[in-house]
Amino acid sequence: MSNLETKHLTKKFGNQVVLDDLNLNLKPNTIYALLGRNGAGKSTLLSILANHIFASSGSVVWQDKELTGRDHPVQEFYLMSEHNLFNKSDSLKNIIKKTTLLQGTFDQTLADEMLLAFKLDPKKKVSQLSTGYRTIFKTIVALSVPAEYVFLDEPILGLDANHRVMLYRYILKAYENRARTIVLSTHLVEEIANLVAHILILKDVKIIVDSDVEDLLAKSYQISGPKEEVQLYCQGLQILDDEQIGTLYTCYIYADLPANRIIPDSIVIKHSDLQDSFIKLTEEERELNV
Amino acid sequence: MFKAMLKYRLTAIWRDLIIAFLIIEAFMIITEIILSIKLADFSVLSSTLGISLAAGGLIVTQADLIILSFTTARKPFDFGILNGISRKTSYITQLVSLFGSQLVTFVIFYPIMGILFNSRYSGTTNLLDPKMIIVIILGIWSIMAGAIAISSFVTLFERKIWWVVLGAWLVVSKLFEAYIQPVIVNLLPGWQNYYNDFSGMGSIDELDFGQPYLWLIVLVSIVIPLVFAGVCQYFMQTKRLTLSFKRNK
Repeated sequence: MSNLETKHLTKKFGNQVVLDDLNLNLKPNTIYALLGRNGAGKSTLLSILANHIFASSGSVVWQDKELTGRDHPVQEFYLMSEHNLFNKSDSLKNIIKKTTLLQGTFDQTLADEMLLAFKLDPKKKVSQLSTGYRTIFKTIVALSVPAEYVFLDEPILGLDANHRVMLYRYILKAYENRARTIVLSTHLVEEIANLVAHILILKDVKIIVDSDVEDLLAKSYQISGPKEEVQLYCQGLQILDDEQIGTLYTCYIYADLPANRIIPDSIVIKHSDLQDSFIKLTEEERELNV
Repeated sequence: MFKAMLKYRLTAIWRDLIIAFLIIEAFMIITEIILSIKLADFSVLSSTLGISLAAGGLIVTQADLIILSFTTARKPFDFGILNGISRKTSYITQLVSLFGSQLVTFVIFYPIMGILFNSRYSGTTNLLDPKMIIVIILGIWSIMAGAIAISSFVTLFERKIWWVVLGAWLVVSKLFEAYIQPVIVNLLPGWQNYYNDFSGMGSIDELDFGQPYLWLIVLVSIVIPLVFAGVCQYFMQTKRLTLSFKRNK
Protein backbone atom coordinates (compact mmCIF):
# COMPACT_ATOMS: atom_id res chain seq x y z
CA MET A 1 0.00 0.00 0.00
CA SER A 2 1.37 3.42 -0.85
CA ASN A 3 1.61 6.63 1.12
CA LEU A 4 -0.91 9.40 0.70
CA GLU A 5 0.84 12.70 0.20
CA THR A 6 -0.08 16.31 -0.19
CA LYS A 7 2.22 18.64 -2.08
CA HIS A 8 2.02 22.39 -1.52
CA LEU A 9 -1.67 22.01 -0.80
CA THR A 10 -3.47 25.31 -0.43
CA LYS A 11 -7.16 25.98 0.05
CA LYS A 12 -8.82 29.36 -0.11
CA PHE A 13 -12.45 30.32 0.33
CA GLY A 14 -12.66 33.64 -1.44
CA ASN A 15 -9.71 35.61 -0.09
CA GLN A 16 -9.56 33.58 3.11
CA VAL A 17 -6.68 31.13 3.19
CA VAL A 18 -7.77 28.04 5.11
CA LEU A 19 -4.79 25.80 4.40
CA ASP A 20 -1.45 27.07 3.24
CA ASP A 21 1.23 25.07 1.46
CA LEU A 22 0.72 21.79 3.32
CA ASN A 23 3.19 19.01 2.66
CA LEU A 24 1.98 15.88 4.39
CA ASN A 25 2.90 12.26 4.11
CA LEU A 26 0.38 9.82 5.57
CA LYS A 27 1.90 6.39 6.01
CA PRO A 28 -0.03 3.17 5.48
CA ASN A 29 -1.47 1.25 8.43
CA THR A 30 -1.00 4.04 10.97
CA ILE A 31 -3.49 5.68 13.31
CA TYR A 32 -3.15 9.45 13.20
CA ALA A 33 -4.67 12.20 15.29
CA LEU A 34 -5.40 15.40 13.45
CA LEU A 35 -5.64 18.13 16.04
CA GLY A 36 -6.33 21.80 15.81
CA ARG A 37 -8.45 24.55 17.26
CA ASN A 38 -11.94 25.28 15.96
CA GLY A 39 -11.68 26.57 12.41
CA ALA A 40 -8.08 25.41 12.02
CA GLY A 41 -8.95 23.67 8.75
CA LYS A 42 -9.09 20.03 9.89
CA SER A 43 -12.39 19.25 8.16
CA THR A 44 -11.27 21.09 5.04
CA LEU A 45 -8.07 19.07 4.89
CA LEU A 46 -9.90 15.76 5.32
CA SER A 47 -12.53 16.75 2.75
CA ILE A 48 -9.80 17.52 0.23
CA LEU A 49 -8.02 14.23 0.94
CA ALA A 50 -11.28 12.34 0.39
CA ASN A 51 -12.03 14.25 -2.84
CA HIS A 52 -15.20 15.84 -1.41
CA ILE A 53 -13.90 19.32 -2.10
CA PHE A 54 -10.91 20.56 -4.05
CA ALA A 55 -7.68 22.29 -3.26
CA SER A 56 -7.15 25.77 -4.66
CA SER A 57 -3.63 24.75 -5.57
CA GLY A 58 -1.19 21.95 -4.91
CA SER A 59 -2.04 18.31 -5.15
CA VAL A 60 -2.89 15.09 -3.39
CA VAL A 61 -0.65 12.24 -4.54
CA TRP A 62 -1.69 8.61 -4.30
CA GLN A 63 0.23 5.73 -5.88
CA ASP A 64 2.41 8.26 -7.70
CA LYS A 65 -0.64 9.86 -9.32
CA GLU A 66 -1.89 13.35 -8.65
CA LEU A 67 -5.53 13.41 -7.55
CA THR A 68 -6.24 17.00 -8.40
CA GLY A 69 -9.27 16.62 -10.64
CA ARG A 70 -12.90 15.86 -10.01
CA ASP A 71 -12.97 12.49 -11.65
CA HIS A 72 -10.69 10.33 -9.63
CA PRO A 73 -12.69 7.52 -8.14
CA VAL A 74 -10.82 6.93 -4.90
CA GLN A 75 -12.59 4.19 -2.99
CA GLU A 76 -9.40 3.64 -1.04
CA PHE A 77 -10.36 6.75 0.97
CA TYR A 78 -13.49 7.14 3.06
CA LEU A 79 -14.44 10.25 4.99
CA MET A 80 -16.87 10.17 7.87
CA SER A 81 -17.69 13.81 8.40
CA GLU A 82 -20.10 15.72 10.59
CA HIS A 83 -22.25 16.28 7.50
CA ASN A 84 -24.88 13.69 6.87
CA LEU A 85 -24.50 12.42 3.32
CA PHE A 86 -26.98 9.59 3.80
CA ASN A 87 -30.57 9.83 2.76
CA LYS A 88 -32.36 10.69 6.00
CA SER A 89 -35.44 8.71 5.08
CA ASP A 90 -33.43 5.52 4.54
CA SER A 91 -33.19 2.85 7.22
CA LEU A 92 -29.75 1.96 8.57
CA LYS A 93 -30.10 -1.49 7.04
CA ASN A 94 -30.85 0.04 3.67
CA ILE A 95 -27.86 2.39 3.86
CA ILE A 96 -25.58 -0.54 4.67
CA LYS A 97 -27.03 -2.41 1.70
CA LYS A 98 -26.47 0.55 -0.63
CA THR A 99 -22.96 1.13 0.73
CA THR A 100 -22.13 -2.54 0.13
CA LEU A 101 -23.39 -2.18 -3.43
CA LEU A 102 -21.17 0.82 -4.17
CA GLN A 103 -18.14 -0.33 -2.17
CA GLY A 104 -18.15 -3.89 -3.45
CA THR A 105 -17.51 -5.38 -0.02
CA PHE A 106 -18.46 -4.50 3.54
CA ASP A 107 -17.47 -5.90 6.93
CA GLN A 108 -20.98 -6.96 7.88
CA THR A 109 -19.72 -8.91 10.91
CA LEU A 110 -18.12 -5.84 12.46
CA ALA A 111 -21.11 -3.67 11.54
CA ASP A 112 -23.57 -6.13 13.11
CA GLU A 113 -21.46 -6.43 16.24
CA MET A 114 -21.21 -2.66 16.62
CA LEU A 115 -24.91 -2.11 15.92
CA LEU A 116 -25.71 -4.63 18.63
CA ALA A 117 -23.18 -3.22 21.09
CA PHE A 118 -24.49 0.32 20.67
CA LYS A 119 -28.12 -0.91 20.66
CA LEU A 120 -28.81 0.55 17.26
CA ASP A 121 -31.85 -0.90 15.53
CA PRO A 122 -31.01 -1.42 11.82
CA LYS A 123 -34.66 -0.86 10.95
CA LYS A 124 -34.54 2.70 12.27
CA LYS A 125 -34.28 5.58 9.84
CA VAL A 126 -31.38 8.03 9.92
CA SER A 127 -33.86 10.84 10.67
CA GLN A 128 -34.91 8.98 13.85
CA LEU A 129 -31.40 8.97 15.31
CA SER A 130 -30.04 11.48 17.81
CA THR A 131 -26.83 13.36 16.98
CA GLY A 132 -24.77 10.89 18.99
CA TYR A 133 -26.30 7.80 17.42
CA ARG A 134 -25.99 9.31 13.96
CA THR A 135 -22.28 9.81 14.63
CA ILE A 136 -21.99 6.22 15.86
CA PHE A 137 -23.73 4.88 12.76
CA LYS A 138 -21.54 6.93 10.42
CA THR A 139 -18.46 5.61 12.22
CA ILE A 140 -19.73 2.02 11.99
CA VAL A 141 -20.06 2.40 8.22
CA ALA A 142 -16.65 4.08 7.96
CA LEU A 143 -14.95 1.24 9.84
CA SER A 144 -16.75 -1.43 7.81
CA VAL A 145 -15.95 -0.22 4.29
CA PRO A 146 -12.85 -1.67 2.63
CA ALA A 147 -11.03 1.70 2.38
CA GLU A 148 -7.30 1.80 3.07
CA TYR A 149 -7.47 5.34 4.45
CA VAL A 150 -10.37 6.16 6.77
CA PHE A 151 -10.81 9.75 7.89
CA LEU A 152 -12.96 10.16 10.99
CA ASP A 153 -13.91 13.79 11.43
CA GLU A 154 -15.23 14.28 14.97
CA PRO A 155 -16.24 10.63 15.53
CA ILE A 156 -17.21 11.38 19.12
CA LEU A 157 -19.57 14.25 18.35
CA GLY A 158 -22.52 14.00 20.73
CA LEU A 159 -21.31 10.79 22.39
CA ASP A 160 -21.41 10.22 26.13
CA ALA A 161 -18.30 8.97 27.96
CA ASN A 162 -19.35 5.30 27.87
CA HIS A 163 -20.04 5.36 24.16
CA ARG A 164 -16.77 7.18 23.51
CA VAL A 165 -14.81 4.46 25.31
CA MET A 166 -16.69 1.76 23.37
CA LEU A 167 -16.07 3.54 20.11
CA TYR A 168 -12.33 3.83 20.77
CA ARG A 169 -12.25 0.08 21.49
CA TYR A 170 -14.02 -0.66 18.23
CA ILE A 171 -11.69 1.61 16.27
CA LEU A 172 -8.79 -0.39 17.67
CA LYS A 173 -10.57 -3.67 17.01
CA ALA A 174 -11.27 -2.70 13.41
CA TYR A 175 -7.63 -1.74 13.03
CA GLU A 176 -6.46 -5.04 14.53
CA ASN A 177 -8.78 -7.02 12.27
CA ARG A 178 -7.51 -5.24 9.20
CA ALA A 179 -4.69 -2.74 9.39
CA ARG A 180 -5.39 0.52 7.60
CA THR A 181 -4.63 4.18 8.08
CA ILE A 182 -7.13 5.92 10.32
CA VAL A 183 -7.02 9.68 10.77
CA LEU A 184 -8.98 10.85 13.79
CA SER A 185 -9.88 14.48 14.02
CA THR A 186 -11.04 15.39 17.50
CA HIS A 187 -10.94 17.94 20.28
CA LEU A 188 -10.79 15.37 23.08
CA VAL A 189 -7.04 15.15 22.90
CA GLU A 190 -6.28 13.21 26.06
CA GLU A 191 -8.81 10.48 25.28
CA ILE A 192 -7.10 9.48 22.07
CA ALA A 193 -3.55 9.70 23.40
CA ASN A 194 -3.27 5.94 23.80
CA LEU A 195 -5.04 5.19 20.56
CA VAL A 196 -2.93 7.05 18.04
CA ALA A 197 0.65 6.60 16.89
CA HIS A 198 1.19 9.88 15.14
CA ILE A 199 0.08 13.44 15.72
CA LEU A 200 -0.64 16.20 13.23
CA ILE A 201 -1.41 19.64 14.61
CA LEU A 202 -2.86 22.38 12.46
CA LYS A 203 -2.47 25.97 13.51
CA ASP A 204 -2.79 29.19 11.56
CA VAL A 205 -3.40 27.34 8.28
CA LYS A 206 -0.17 25.34 8.62
CA ILE A 207 0.87 21.99 10.07
CA ILE A 208 2.98 22.91 13.08
CA VAL A 209 3.51 19.39 14.39
CA ASP A 210 3.92 16.22 12.35
CA SER A 211 5.39 13.79 14.81
CA ASP A 212 5.03 10.41 16.48
CA VAL A 213 3.24 10.67 19.81
CA GLU A 214 6.32 9.49 21.70
CA ASP A 215 8.51 12.09 20.02
CA LEU A 216 6.01 14.85 20.71
CA LEU A 217 5.70 13.93 24.36
CA ALA A 218 9.46 13.45 24.64
CA LYS A 219 9.96 17.09 23.62
CA SER A 220 7.17 18.53 25.78
CA TYR A 221 8.34 19.66 29.20
CA GLN A 222 7.16 21.68 32.17
CA ILE A 223 10.13 23.22 33.96
CA SER A 224 9.33 24.70 37.37
CA GLY A 225 11.29 26.44 40.06
CA PRO A 226 12.59 29.90 40.98
CA LYS A 227 12.07 32.27 38.09
CA GLU A 228 15.67 33.29 37.53
CA GLU A 229 16.96 29.74 37.53
CA VAL A 230 14.21 28.43 35.27
CA GLN A 231 14.73 31.29 32.82
CA LEU A 232 18.45 30.70 32.83
CA TYR A 233 18.00 27.01 32.17
CA CYS A 234 15.45 27.62 29.40
CA GLN A 235 17.59 30.10 27.52
CA GLY A 236 17.60 29.34 23.79
CA LEU A 237 14.88 26.69 24.06
CA GLN A 238 11.46 26.98 22.41
CA ILE A 239 9.26 28.33 25.19
CA LEU A 240 5.56 27.90 24.50
CA ASP A 241 4.26 29.55 27.63
CA ASP A 242 5.19 30.50 31.14
CA GLU A 243 3.25 31.15 34.32
CA GLN A 244 3.91 32.35 37.84
CA ILE A 245 1.89 30.89 40.71
CA GLY A 246 3.12 32.34 43.99
CA THR A 247 6.86 31.82 44.04
CA LEU A 248 6.69 28.94 41.62
CA TYR A 249 7.55 29.82 38.07
CA THR A 250 6.84 27.32 35.27
CA CYS A 251 8.01 27.29 31.69
CA TYR A 252 6.42 25.10 29.05
CA ILE A 253 9.02 23.91 26.58
CA TYR A 254 8.78 22.15 23.23
CA ALA A 255 12.36 21.16 22.53
CA ASP A 256 15.02 18.58 23.16
CA LEU A 257 16.70 19.41 26.43
CA PRO A 258 20.38 20.18 25.97
CA ALA A 259 22.37 17.25 27.30
CA ASN A 260 25.32 19.42 28.33
CA ARG A 261 23.28 21.89 30.45
CA ILE A 262 23.39 21.23 34.15
CA ILE A 263 19.99 20.98 35.81
CA PRO A 264 19.97 22.94 39.07
CA ASP A 265 18.60 21.12 42.12
CA SER A 266 16.02 23.84 42.65
CA ILE A 267 14.15 23.20 39.43
CA VAL A 268 11.84 20.33 38.58
CA ILE A 269 11.46 19.01 35.06
CA LYS A 270 8.58 16.80 34.00
CA HIS A 271 6.91 15.85 30.74
CA SER A 272 3.66 17.53 29.76
CA ASP A 273 0.78 15.29 28.79
CA LEU A 274 -0.67 15.38 25.28
CA GLN A 275 -3.51 17.74 26.14
CA ASP A 276 -1.22 20.27 27.82
CA SER A 277 1.23 20.07 24.95
CA PHE A 278 -1.55 20.64 22.45
CA ILE A 279 -2.99 23.58 24.38
CA LYS A 280 0.37 25.25 24.74
CA LEU A 281 1.29 24.63 21.11
CA THR A 282 -1.94 26.06 19.76
CA GLU A 283 -2.63 28.86 22.22
CA GLU A 284 -3.00 32.32 20.76
CA GLU A 285 -0.97 35.26 22.05
CA ARG A 286 -4.01 36.98 23.55
CA GLU A 287 -5.09 33.78 25.31
CA LEU A 288 -1.73 33.46 27.03
CA ASN A 289 -2.45 36.61 28.98
CA VAL A 290 -5.75 35.34 30.42
CA MET B 1 -18.11 1.29 -10.28
CA PHE B 2 -20.27 2.46 -13.15
CA LYS B 3 -22.39 -0.70 -12.92
CA ALA B 4 -22.72 -0.39 -9.15
CA MET B 5 -23.77 3.27 -9.35
CA LEU B 6 -26.19 2.51 -12.17
CA LYS B 7 -27.71 -0.34 -10.16
CA TYR B 8 -27.98 1.96 -7.14
CA ARG B 9 -29.79 4.64 -9.14
CA LEU B 10 -32.00 2.18 -11.02
CA THR B 11 -33.03 0.46 -7.80
CA ALA B 12 -34.13 3.78 -6.32
CA ILE B 13 -35.93 4.88 -9.50
CA TRP B 14 -37.79 1.61 -10.04
CA ARG B 15 -38.78 1.37 -6.41
CA ASP B 16 -40.42 4.78 -6.80
CA LEU B 17 -41.97 3.87 -10.14
CA ILE B 18 -43.47 0.61 -8.86
CA ILE B 19 -44.93 2.30 -5.78
CA ALA B 20 -46.42 5.11 -7.91
CA PHE B 21 -47.71 2.60 -10.45
CA LEU B 22 -49.38 0.40 -7.84
CA ILE B 23 -51.04 3.39 -6.17
CA ILE B 24 -52.43 4.80 -9.43
CA GLU B 25 -53.58 1.40 -10.70
CA ALA B 26 -55.35 0.66 -7.43
CA PHE B 27 -56.93 4.08 -7.62
CA MET B 28 -58.03 3.47 -11.24
CA ILE B 29 -59.53 0.07 -10.48
CA ILE B 30 -61.40 1.33 -7.43
CA THR B 31 -62.69 4.37 -9.35
CA GLU B 32 -63.88 2.20 -12.25
CA ILE B 33 -65.61 -0.25 -9.91
CA ILE B 34 -67.35 2.57 -8.01
CA LEU B 35 -68.39 4.16 -11.30
CA SER B 36 -69.75 0.88 -12.61
CA ILE B 37 -71.67 0.24 -9.38
CA LYS B 38 -73.13 3.74 -9.47
CA LEU B 39 -74.16 3.39 -13.11
CA ALA B 40 -75.19 -0.20 -12.51
CA ASP B 41 -73.47 -1.00 -15.77
CA PHE B 42 -70.43 -3.25 -15.66
CA SER B 43 -69.89 -3.00 -19.40
CA VAL B 44 -68.21 0.36 -18.67
CA LEU B 45 -65.70 -1.46 -16.54
CA SER B 46 -64.86 -3.99 -19.22
CA SER B 47 -64.63 -1.43 -22.00
CA THR B 48 -62.57 1.29 -20.35
CA LEU B 49 -60.55 -0.43 -17.65
CA GLY B 50 -57.78 -1.51 -20.01
CA ILE B 51 -57.26 1.99 -21.44
CA SER B 52 -57.49 3.52 -17.96
CA LEU B 53 -54.89 1.18 -16.55
CA ALA B 54 -52.51 1.65 -19.48
CA ALA B 55 -53.00 5.44 -19.59
CA GLY B 56 -52.72 5.66 -15.79
CA GLY B 57 -49.52 3.63 -15.83
CA LEU B 58 -48.08 5.69 -18.64
CA ILE B 59 -48.94 9.05 -17.14
CA VAL B 60 -47.83 8.21 -13.62
CA THR B 61 -44.52 6.69 -14.69
CA GLN B 62 -43.67 9.58 -17.01
CA ALA B 63 -44.71 12.17 -14.40
CA ASP B 64 -42.73 10.31 -11.74
CA LEU B 65 -39.64 10.28 -13.96
CA ILE B 66 -39.98 14.03 -14.55
CA ILE B 67 -40.21 14.58 -10.78
CA LEU B 68 -37.21 12.27 -10.26
CA SER B 69 -35.27 14.36 -12.80
CA PHE B 70 -35.73 17.26 -10.38
CA THR B 71 -34.91 15.31 -7.24
CA THR B 72 -32.02 13.00 -8.09
CA ALA B 73 -29.25 15.58 -8.27
CA ARG B 74 -28.23 15.98 -4.62
CA LYS B 75 -28.79 12.78 -2.63
CA PRO B 76 -27.35 10.19 -5.06
CA PHE B 77 -24.51 12.61 -5.85
CA ASP B 78 -23.58 12.93 -2.16
CA PHE B 79 -23.85 9.21 -1.57
CA GLY B 80 -21.76 8.52 -4.67
CA ILE B 81 -18.99 10.92 -3.62
CA LEU B 82 -19.02 9.45 -0.11
CA ASN B 83 -18.35 6.05 -1.67
CA GLY B 84 -15.68 7.18 -4.12
CA ILE B 85 -17.85 7.47 -7.22
CA SER B 86 -16.57 10.15 -9.58
CA ARG B 87 -18.74 13.09 -10.58
CA LYS B 88 -18.68 12.00 -14.22
CA THR B 89 -19.84 8.47 -13.39
CA SER B 90 -22.53 9.86 -11.11
CA TYR B 91 -23.88 12.15 -13.83
CA ILE B 92 -23.74 9.61 -16.65
CA THR B 93 -25.57 7.05 -14.51
CA GLN B 94 -28.19 9.68 -13.70
CA LEU B 95 -28.82 10.24 -17.40
CA VAL B 96 -28.76 6.55 -18.34
CA SER B 97 -31.04 5.53 -15.48
CA LEU B 98 -33.60 8.28 -16.03
CA PHE B 99 -33.75 8.27 -19.83
CA GLY B 100 -33.45 4.46 -19.95
CA SER B 101 -36.30 4.07 -17.47
CA GLN B 102 -38.37 6.53 -19.49
CA LEU B 103 -37.88 4.47 -22.62
CA VAL B 104 -38.68 1.19 -20.87
CA THR B 105 -41.83 2.45 -19.17
CA PHE B 106 -42.92 4.17 -22.36
CA VAL B 107 -42.37 1.02 -24.40
CA ILE B 108 -44.38 -0.99 -21.85
CA PHE B 109 -47.41 1.28 -21.50
CA TYR B 110 -47.67 3.34 -24.66
CA PRO B 111 -48.19 0.51 -27.21
CA ILE B 112 -50.84 -1.10 -24.97
CA MET B 113 -52.62 2.22 -24.65
CA GLY B 114 -52.18 2.93 -28.38
CA ILE B 115 -53.59 -0.46 -29.44
CA LEU B 116 -56.57 -0.19 -27.10
CA PHE B 117 -57.21 3.43 -28.11
CA ASN B 118 -56.92 2.73 -31.83
CA SER B 119 -59.24 -0.28 -31.64
CA ARG B 120 -61.84 1.67 -29.67
CA TYR B 121 -61.61 5.02 -31.42
CA SER B 122 -60.70 4.05 -34.98
CA GLY B 123 -60.67 6.92 -37.38
CA THR B 124 -59.26 9.41 -34.92
CA THR B 125 -55.57 10.06 -34.27
CA ASN B 126 -53.36 7.04 -34.78
CA LEU B 127 -51.40 6.86 -31.54
CA LEU B 128 -49.10 4.22 -32.97
CA ASP B 129 -47.79 6.52 -35.68
CA PRO B 130 -43.98 6.24 -35.27
CA LYS B 131 -43.58 9.98 -35.80
CA MET B 132 -46.02 10.72 -33.01
CA ILE B 133 -44.21 8.28 -30.73
CA ILE B 134 -40.87 9.96 -31.43
CA VAL B 135 -42.31 13.43 -30.88
CA ILE B 136 -43.84 12.39 -27.54
CA ILE B 137 -40.57 10.78 -26.41
CA LEU B 138 -38.60 13.89 -27.44
CA GLY B 139 -41.14 16.07 -25.64
CA ILE B 140 -40.77 14.11 -22.40
CA TRP B 141 -36.99 14.06 -22.79
CA SER B 142 -36.89 17.84 -23.19
CA ILE B 143 -38.88 18.30 -19.97
CA MET B 144 -36.60 15.83 -18.18
CA ALA B 145 -33.49 17.54 -19.55
CA GLY B 146 -34.77 20.91 -18.36
CA ALA B 147 -35.54 19.44 -14.93
CA ILE B 148 -32.06 17.90 -14.63
CA ALA B 149 -30.46 21.20 -15.71
CA ILE B 150 -32.47 23.28 -13.24
CA SER B 151 -31.93 20.87 -10.32
CA SER B 152 -28.19 20.60 -11.04
CA PHE B 153 -27.86 24.38 -11.22
CA VAL B 154 -29.83 24.91 -8.02
CA THR B 155 -27.91 22.12 -6.26
CA LEU B 156 -24.63 23.68 -7.28
CA PHE B 157 -25.46 26.79 -5.26
CA GLU B 158 -28.09 25.38 -2.88
CA ARG B 159 -30.80 27.39 -1.20
CA LYS B 160 -29.90 31.00 -1.76
CA ILE B 161 -29.78 30.58 -5.50
CA TRP B 162 -33.34 31.37 -6.55
CA TRP B 163 -32.60 34.99 -7.38
CA VAL B 164 -29.54 33.83 -9.33
CA VAL B 165 -31.67 31.32 -11.25
CA LEU B 166 -34.13 34.03 -12.19
CA GLY B 167 -31.38 36.49 -13.09
CA ALA B 168 -29.46 33.90 -15.10
CA TRP B 169 -32.60 32.86 -16.95
CA LEU B 170 -33.35 36.48 -17.88
CA VAL B 171 -29.80 37.13 -19.01
CA VAL B 172 -29.55 33.90 -21.00
CA SER B 173 -32.93 34.42 -22.68
CA LYS B 174 -32.01 38.00 -23.59
CA LEU B 175 -28.62 36.92 -24.92
CA PHE B 176 -30.26 34.12 -26.89
CA GLU B 177 -32.84 36.51 -28.32
CA ALA B 178 -30.29 39.20 -29.14
CA TYR B 179 -27.40 37.18 -30.50
CA ILE B 180 -28.13 33.53 -31.14
CA GLN B 181 -31.64 33.60 -32.58
CA PRO B 182 -30.78 36.16 -35.33
CA VAL B 183 -27.86 33.98 -36.41
CA ILE B 184 -30.06 30.90 -36.57
CA VAL B 185 -32.82 32.79 -38.39
CA ASN B 186 -30.25 34.07 -40.83
CA LEU B 187 -28.98 30.58 -41.49
CA LEU B 188 -32.38 28.89 -41.40
CA PRO B 189 -35.17 31.39 -42.11
CA GLY B 190 -37.91 28.96 -41.08
CA TRP B 191 -36.45 28.47 -37.59
CA GLN B 192 -38.40 31.23 -35.89
CA ASN B 193 -41.73 29.68 -36.81
CA TYR B 194 -40.63 26.31 -35.56
CA TYR B 195 -39.12 27.62 -32.39
CA ASN B 196 -41.87 30.02 -31.41
CA ASP B 197 -44.75 27.88 -32.51
CA PHE B 198 -44.36 24.16 -32.58
CA SER B 199 -47.43 24.01 -34.84
CA GLY B 200 -45.28 25.69 -37.48
CA MET B 201 -43.98 22.24 -38.01
CA GLY B 202 -47.38 21.34 -39.41
CA SER B 203 -49.19 18.15 -38.59
CA ILE B 204 -47.45 15.01 -37.50
CA ASP B 205 -47.85 13.67 -41.04
CA GLU B 206 -45.86 16.58 -42.41
CA LEU B 207 -43.08 16.08 -39.91
CA ASP B 208 -39.83 15.42 -41.68
CA PHE B 209 -36.98 14.12 -39.56
CA GLY B 210 -34.60 15.30 -42.24
CA GLN B 211 -35.42 18.93 -41.37
CA PRO B 212 -32.65 20.67 -39.48
CA TYR B 213 -35.26 22.63 -37.47
CA LEU B 214 -36.42 19.60 -35.57
CA TRP B 215 -32.89 18.69 -34.62
CA LEU B 216 -32.14 22.26 -33.64
CA ILE B 217 -35.09 22.11 -31.28
CA VAL B 218 -33.78 18.81 -29.94
CA LEU B 219 -30.37 20.42 -29.52
CA VAL B 220 -31.72 23.48 -27.73
CA SER B 221 -34.24 21.67 -25.55
CA ILE B 222 -32.41 18.43 -24.74
CA VAL B 223 -28.70 18.45 -25.50
CA ILE B 224 -27.81 21.95 -24.29
CA PRO B 225 -29.61 21.58 -20.91
CA LEU B 226 -27.85 18.24 -20.38
CA VAL B 227 -24.45 19.74 -21.19
CA PHE B 228 -25.27 22.61 -18.82
CA ALA B 229 -26.29 20.13 -16.11
CA GLY B 230 -23.07 18.18 -16.66
CA VAL B 231 -21.01 21.34 -16.15
CA CYS B 232 -22.95 22.14 -12.97
CA GLN B 233 -22.40 18.63 -11.59
CA TYR B 234 -18.72 18.82 -12.49
CA PHE B 235 -18.35 21.73 -10.10
CA MET B 236 -20.68 20.35 -7.44
CA GLN B 237 -19.28 19.44 -4.04
CA THR B 238 -20.71 17.52 -1.13
CA LYS B 239 -23.62 18.85 0.82
CA ARG B 240 -23.39 22.20 2.55
CA LEU B 241 -19.60 22.24 2.72
CA THR B 242 -19.17 25.13 0.36
CA LEU B 243 -21.99 27.11 1.84
CA SER B 244 -21.06 26.55 5.46
CA PHE B 245 -17.47 27.55 4.81
CA LYS B 246 -18.56 30.65 2.98
CA ARG B 247 -20.82 31.55 5.88
CA ASN B 248 -18.32 30.86 8.63
CA LYS B 249 -15.05 32.09 7.27
